[in-house]
Amino acid sequence: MKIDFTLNGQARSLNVDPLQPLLTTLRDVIGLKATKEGCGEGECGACSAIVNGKLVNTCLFPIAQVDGAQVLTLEGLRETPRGRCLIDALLTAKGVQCGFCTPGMVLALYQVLVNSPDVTQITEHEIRVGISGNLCRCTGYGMIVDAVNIAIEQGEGLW
Amino acid sequence: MVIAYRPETTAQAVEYLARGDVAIFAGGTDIMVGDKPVCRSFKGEPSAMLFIDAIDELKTLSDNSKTITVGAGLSLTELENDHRVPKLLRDSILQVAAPGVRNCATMGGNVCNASPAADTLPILYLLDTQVVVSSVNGKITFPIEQFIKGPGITQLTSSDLLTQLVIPKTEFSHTFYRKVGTRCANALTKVSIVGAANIQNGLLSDWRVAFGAVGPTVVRDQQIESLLIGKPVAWLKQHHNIQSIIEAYKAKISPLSDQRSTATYRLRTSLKLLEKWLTELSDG
Ligand SMILES: Cc1cc2nc3c(=O)[nH]c(=O)nc-3n(C[C@H](O)[C@H](O)[C@H](O)COP(=O)(O)OP(=O)(O)OC[C@H]3O[C@@H](n4cnc5c(N)ncnc54)[C@H](O)[C@@H]3O)c2cc1C
Ligand code: FES
Ligand code: FES
Repeated sequence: MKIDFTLNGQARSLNVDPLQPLLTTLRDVIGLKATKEGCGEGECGACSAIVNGKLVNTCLFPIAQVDGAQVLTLEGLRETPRGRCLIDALLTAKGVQCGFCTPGMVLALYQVLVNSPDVTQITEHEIRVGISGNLCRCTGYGMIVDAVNIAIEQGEGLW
Repeated sequence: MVIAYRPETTAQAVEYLARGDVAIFAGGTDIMVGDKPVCRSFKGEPSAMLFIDAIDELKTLSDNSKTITVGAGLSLTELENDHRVPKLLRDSILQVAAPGVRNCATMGGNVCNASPAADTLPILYLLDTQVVVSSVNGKITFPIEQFIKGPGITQLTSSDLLTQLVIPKTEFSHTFYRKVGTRCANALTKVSIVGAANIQNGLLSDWRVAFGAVGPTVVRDQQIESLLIGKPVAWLKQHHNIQSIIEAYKAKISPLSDQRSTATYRLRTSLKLLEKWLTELSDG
């Protein structure tokens, strides 16, 4: 099936099996490896990406539904001021250890920030719900939660 | 490679289904789990997949003074954020998986997958929901308890599309909802219970309860409910009366043991939660 979409701001056109998970397309067809495969069945969030402004688990997301869509992965987000601010905040908070969960985690945290009408009002509960589909075996989450507040402080005006 | 159809109207979708050998793909969060995509509602491997995510008609929500009509293609996230959706249904949706799954998972998919652990089903039973099914031959409406026939089994034929759920608007003075799982997010239900009641002038003018994951389908029993309706709340102050209700449900609940929990745990926990709900009500 012919699929046309925008990946990190660039137009793409591919001919692939409509049921191919977006994760496979990203990693094996296109060769962008930031998006990780953990469980392959929707449980861990390592494969998170943003499709049309929504966080999705790309291991479950068929490429057929990407036709006409805007896809954002960590490779795209890190080229933006907001993306860099959030990644720096996560490093400052020591929220990265082995790093396997990090690409998915950054996108989930980014969604918490951009979906909030007023970032200064974001509660710890909202952050924890936002990352509740993203497993991290290393950090214990506290430092990841802190990163949001650091990003809000350091990125004044960005959010 | 399967053929993919991605129509923009319900009329086109049912035309494709009428050709036969076409399976429906909504959010895919049940279908895509496992080594290869599987549709519980389709026997064998289809030669074509009908993606329904581009059909705007299936994503509308409307209400009038009596009912709220929910499009089958609305995502769980869209429902959780719409205050016209009954609060009990929103509470149960917040317990499903995590945001990434809820952004894709649809209301129709949760119903059609007909899992005993589907979290919206006990609420839909409790609220007397009607299920609207369309095909090239027209529309049929089923009460939810007739639509679901067993685990993974519904009234849908291969040419049918679930298009809407019609939920009566009912006000309750007291509600109760608990989902028991191994952790807060991404845990499938071991047991769930939902209750709703109206207390007017010290009388129970309405009382309902439904249990999830304790049998092949949701357990709701209107005969037992009628034993309580019309009784004074004070009736529940007598512990043996509460016990008699619990005994009546004990006879109706027949859980299985599986990888998530044991039959003994499920039975005991569901009845303890029922006791908690009845005791809460007796305190007004
Ligand atoms: C990690 C994870 C956690 C989960 N946790 C929960 C949970 O806590 N609680 C819970 O209830 N569920 C849970 N689920 C299951 C799933 O997300 C839900 O059942 C979801 O609502 C399914 O919707 P969908 O749109 O993704 O369905 P799909 O996967 O697209 O379809 C499911 C089935 O329904 C059929 N179908 C879908 N729409 C229609 C329609 N309109 N007409 C006819 N047939 C149709 C399909 O053919 C298929 O057989 C979880 C799933 C994952 C991956
Ligand atoms: S790899 Fe997709 S959720 Fe784990
Ligand atoms: S840093 Fe290792 S899994 Fe999160």
